[in-house]
Amino acid sequence: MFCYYLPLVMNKYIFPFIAAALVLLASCVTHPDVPASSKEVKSLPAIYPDYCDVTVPCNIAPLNFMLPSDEFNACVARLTTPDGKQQTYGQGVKVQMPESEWHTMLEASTGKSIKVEVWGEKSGEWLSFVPFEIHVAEEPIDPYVSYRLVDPTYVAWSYMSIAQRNITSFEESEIFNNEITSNDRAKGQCINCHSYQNYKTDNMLFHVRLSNARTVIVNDGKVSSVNLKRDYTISSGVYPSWHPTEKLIAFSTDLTRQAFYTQHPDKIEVYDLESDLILYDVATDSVHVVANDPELLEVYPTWSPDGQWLYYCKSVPLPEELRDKDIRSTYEKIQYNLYRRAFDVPSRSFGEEELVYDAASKDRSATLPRISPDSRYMLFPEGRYGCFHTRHADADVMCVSLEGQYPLVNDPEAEDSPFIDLTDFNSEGFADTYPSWSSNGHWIMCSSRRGDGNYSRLYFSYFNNGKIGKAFLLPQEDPEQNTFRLKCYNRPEFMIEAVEISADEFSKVFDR
Amino acid sequence: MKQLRWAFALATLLFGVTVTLFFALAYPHHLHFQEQYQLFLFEQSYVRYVLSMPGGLADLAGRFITQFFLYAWAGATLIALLLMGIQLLAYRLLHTSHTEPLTYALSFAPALLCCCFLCDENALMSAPVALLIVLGMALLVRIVCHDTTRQLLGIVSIPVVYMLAGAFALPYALLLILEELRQGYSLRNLAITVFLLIVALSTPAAFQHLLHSPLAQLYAGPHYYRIPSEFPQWIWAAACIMPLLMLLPKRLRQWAPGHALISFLTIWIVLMLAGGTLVNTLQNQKRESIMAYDFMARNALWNRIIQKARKQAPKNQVAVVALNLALSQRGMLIDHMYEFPQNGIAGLLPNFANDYVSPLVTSEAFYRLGLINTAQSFVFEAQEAIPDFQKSARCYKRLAETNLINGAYEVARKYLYALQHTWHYRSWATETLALIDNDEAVNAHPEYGALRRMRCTEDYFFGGNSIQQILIRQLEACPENQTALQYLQATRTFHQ
Repeated sequence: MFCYYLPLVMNKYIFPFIAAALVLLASCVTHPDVPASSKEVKSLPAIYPDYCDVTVPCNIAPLNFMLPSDEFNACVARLTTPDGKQQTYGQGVKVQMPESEWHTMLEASTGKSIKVEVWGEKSGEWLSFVPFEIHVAEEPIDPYVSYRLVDPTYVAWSYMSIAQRNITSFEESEIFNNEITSNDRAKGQCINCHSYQNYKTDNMLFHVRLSNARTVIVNDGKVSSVNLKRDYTISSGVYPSWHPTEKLIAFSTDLTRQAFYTQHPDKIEVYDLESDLILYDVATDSVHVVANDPELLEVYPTWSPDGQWLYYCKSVPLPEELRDKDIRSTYEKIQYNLYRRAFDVPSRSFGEEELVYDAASKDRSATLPRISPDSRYMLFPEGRYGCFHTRHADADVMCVSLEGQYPLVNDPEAEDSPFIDLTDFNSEGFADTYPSWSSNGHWIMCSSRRGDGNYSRLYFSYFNNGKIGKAFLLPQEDPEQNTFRLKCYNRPEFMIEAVEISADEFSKVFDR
Repeated sequence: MKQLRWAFALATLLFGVTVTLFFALAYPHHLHFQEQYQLFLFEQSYVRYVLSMPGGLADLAGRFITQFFLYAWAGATLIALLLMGIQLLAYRLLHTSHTEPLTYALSFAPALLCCCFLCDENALMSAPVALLIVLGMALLVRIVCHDTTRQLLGIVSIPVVYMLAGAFALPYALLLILEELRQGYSLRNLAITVFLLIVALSTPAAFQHLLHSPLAQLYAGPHYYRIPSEFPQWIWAAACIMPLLMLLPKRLRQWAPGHALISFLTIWIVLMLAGGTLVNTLQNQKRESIMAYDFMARNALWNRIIQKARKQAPKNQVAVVALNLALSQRGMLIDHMYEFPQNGIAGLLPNFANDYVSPLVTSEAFYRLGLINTAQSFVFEAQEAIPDFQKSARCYKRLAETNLINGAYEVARKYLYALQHTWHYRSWATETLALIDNDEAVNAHPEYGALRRMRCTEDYFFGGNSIQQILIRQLEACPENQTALQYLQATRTFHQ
C-alpha cells in the first residue's frame, strides 16, 4: 500500500532476487471467476483511478484500479479484447494486471478498445456495473517521464529527488537526490528544473540550490557544473528551455518570493519581484541578456520545435496608482501575456517582441507555454493572475491553435475560436498546470492537484488533430499508491530514453 | 561459584532496574521526544523500505521499540532489556572459562556506553539494537568449530551484518579477526584476517553505488543518529570497546584477587559509579525540561504546565511559549504572565525558526488561536526539518486535524489512513475518519468546530501584518475567541 516509501534505486538493483520471486508469483496471479449472480447497477463503477472510457497509448503500463475499500469487499474485472479473448482479475478490491498479460491485451487492441466489465461485492451481494471501454490508440507515448518528488512544503524541505519513471512498466528510479552532495545540512539543498534537449537525455540539466549550489549540465553525455550568475543578471538561471538543435539554453532569471495565506486553501502565493530572460551558450559558457525590461517581468522561455522562435511570458504594466505599492497588496493585479521573438541561429540574435496571446484583456494570466512538436498548437496554464499557477486552484491548462492571427484572443462565443476545448483534460476547482507534449504530439501531460487539492499527480490525455481524450492518471502497480504517496510530482517532462548517468557520476562534479 | 553466579544475575538485574528508573523518572520526556519524531507503520511497503537500507533490521527494530516511548515506563523497560541483552552477550563473547569476575564486570562497559549515547535526544534506538545484533552474530560464528566453515561464514556474514545492522559490521569484523587470531597466528589465519578487513572496509563503499547516499553516512550508520552529518561517538565507543576488551589476556580476565565475590562486587561498583558519573554528566535536564513543556503543550496539560513553571520558572523560549499558551487556556494570561519570565512577542508567538523542535510548540499556540493555516504550516515545516527525513506521528495527527478543520477532507484522509497503520494512533484515526466529508459533524465537534468558527473569514498574508493586527482580525472574526483576546492584551503590555 505505501509503495511511496520504496527507495527508487532499490527498484533497480537490490531486489533482483525479489523480482525473480515476483515473476514466479506473477505466474500465479489470481484470475477469479465472474460472480454467478449479481444485481445490475445502472452506473459506471466508481473505480479509482477513473479509467472509464479513456484513450491510452499502445505501450502504457497496466491500468490497475480498485473499488473503494470502505464500501466494497471484493472486485472482479473481466477484460475482453477485440479478438474475443477474455481474462478476469481481482484480488480483494484491487484489480492488478501482470504487465505481460496487459501488454498482450494492448497489442490485440491497438486502434480499437478493450471492454471492461466490473463486479463489486458489497455487504455480501455482488453488483455488476455498466461496462466501459479502454480505447487503445495506435500512437505510442514516450516511454519515460521524469519529475521531482517533493513534499508540498513552504520554506523548509526534507528529502527530495528527481526521479524517472518508465511509463510502459512500473519501474521508477532516481536520477539524483538532495542528500548525496549536500555538504551543509543546516543550509539544506534544493534540486529542480530538470530539463532535456528534444526529449533526449544526452543533453540535459538540473539546478542545485543553497548547499553546493550550481547548475549541472550534461553536454553530449559529459557532466559538468556551471554557475550561471553574472554581475549583470538578477540571479542564476532559473526556468530553462533547451534550444531544439543548438547548444543554447534560454533561462529566466528571477527574484522570487512567497507569502502565506491565513485562510486561503491555496496556502501559498509565489511571485517574482523581478525577472528577465537570458541565453546561455553551453559551448562558450557565456550568458547574454534576451529581455530585461526594468518595469516588467519576463519569464518561462520556451522554444518552438524548429528553434526559430522563443516564446515567453511577460507581465502587463500595472496601473499607475499601484506601481509603487508593496507587491503583497498588488499581486492579484499582476497578469502575464504570451510573447515571442524570432531567433536567428547563425547570428544568435533576436527579433522584435510579438504579442501572441493577450490573456490580460480577458482578466487572465498565461504562463509556461509549450509548443507542440508539429508547431501547430500551444499549451499553457492560465489562471486569474500571477505566474505560479501550481498554487492557484482556478488554474487550467489551455490549448490554442497557432495557425490564427496574432494576438490570439480567447473568445468562447466565437465560432472559429482557435482554443481547443480541454474540459476532458482539466479538473474543476483544482490547479492543473505544467503541461507538456509527447515527442509525437499525440499525448499531453500535466501536473494536477485534482486528487486532494494538495498533492500533485500526473495526468495524461490523448490529443489528435485538435481533439482531446479524457484525462487518466499515471498508472501505478498498486492503485492505492496514488493516494498514499505523500509527495508531489513536480515539473514532469517526457523523455524518449532514460537518463543513463548515475547519481554517482553526477555527484563527481560537486565539492565534497 | 554459585554465590558468584547469583551475584552476576543480581548485578545484571540491578543494572536493568537502574536504567529503567533513570529513563522513567529522570528522563521520561526524552523518550516522548523520540516517539514524536518518527512514524512507525504496520504496513508492508514501510517495512520493506526500512529493511532494504543498510542496517535495516536494526533500524526497524529500533523504530518498533521507539513507538512505545509514548509511555515512559514502557520505553524505559525496553531500553533496560536491550542494554541487559547487550551486557549478557558481551559477557558470553568475552569470557573464556566458567566464571570470570573481572570479565563479568567489564561486560557492562558497552551497555554503559550505550546509556551515555541514549542521553542524547538525537540518539536512535537502531544503534543499540545494531550492537545487539552484531554481538549475537559474533557469538553465532564463534560456535562453528570447523575452521574453514567458520572463516567462510565470517567473510560472507560481513555484508549480511552490514545490511542487518549497518556500519557496526566494522567492529563485527574486528571481533571475527580477533577470534581467528585467537585460534593461532598461522599464515592462513593472517590472510583470513586481511581478507575480513578488506571486506569490512569495502562493503559500505560498495553500497554507495546502489544507494546514492554520502559515503561518510554509510560508514557511520547510516541511521544510528538523527543528524546524519554528526558522528555518534558514544555508540561507536560502545561498539569498539568490545574488540578492545577481547584483547585483554586470558589470565587477566580470569584474575580475581582475594575472594571472587568481593573482587567482582568491587570492580562492578567502581564501574557502575564511573558509568553513572558519566551519564550524570551527559544527561541534559535543561533539555528534559523543555521537552516536558513541549509534551504537556502537545497533550493540552495546561495545569501541569503552570504547576511546573511555578516550581521552576522557565528559561527557554519554547517553555515560555508553552507557559503563556497554558495561562491563556486557563484564562490567566493577563493576570499572571508577569509572575514568570517573559520574552515579549517572541514568548507568545515567535517567528518561524527552521528547526524541528520550536515550531511545534508555536504551532500549538496558532492552533488554539484559530490560525489554522499558520498552525499547519509550522507543523509541516517542523516535520520537513527533521534531520533524518523521518515523518512524525505527532505532525501527521496535527496535519490531519488542520486539514479537517479547513475542510480539506481528502488531504486529511491521507494522514488518517497512515495513522490507522500505527499502534497508538489507530483508534483516534479511525474515529476521526468518521468526520471526513461530514461538515455537520466537524462543526458540532467541541474542538474542531470551535476552531473552525474562530478562523478569520477575510483572508490576508500572515507575514504582511504585525502580530497585533493578526490578533485583532481574529477577534473581529470571532469575538468569543478568548485566546486571541488574551494574546492581544498581552501584546499591548509589551508596549507599555
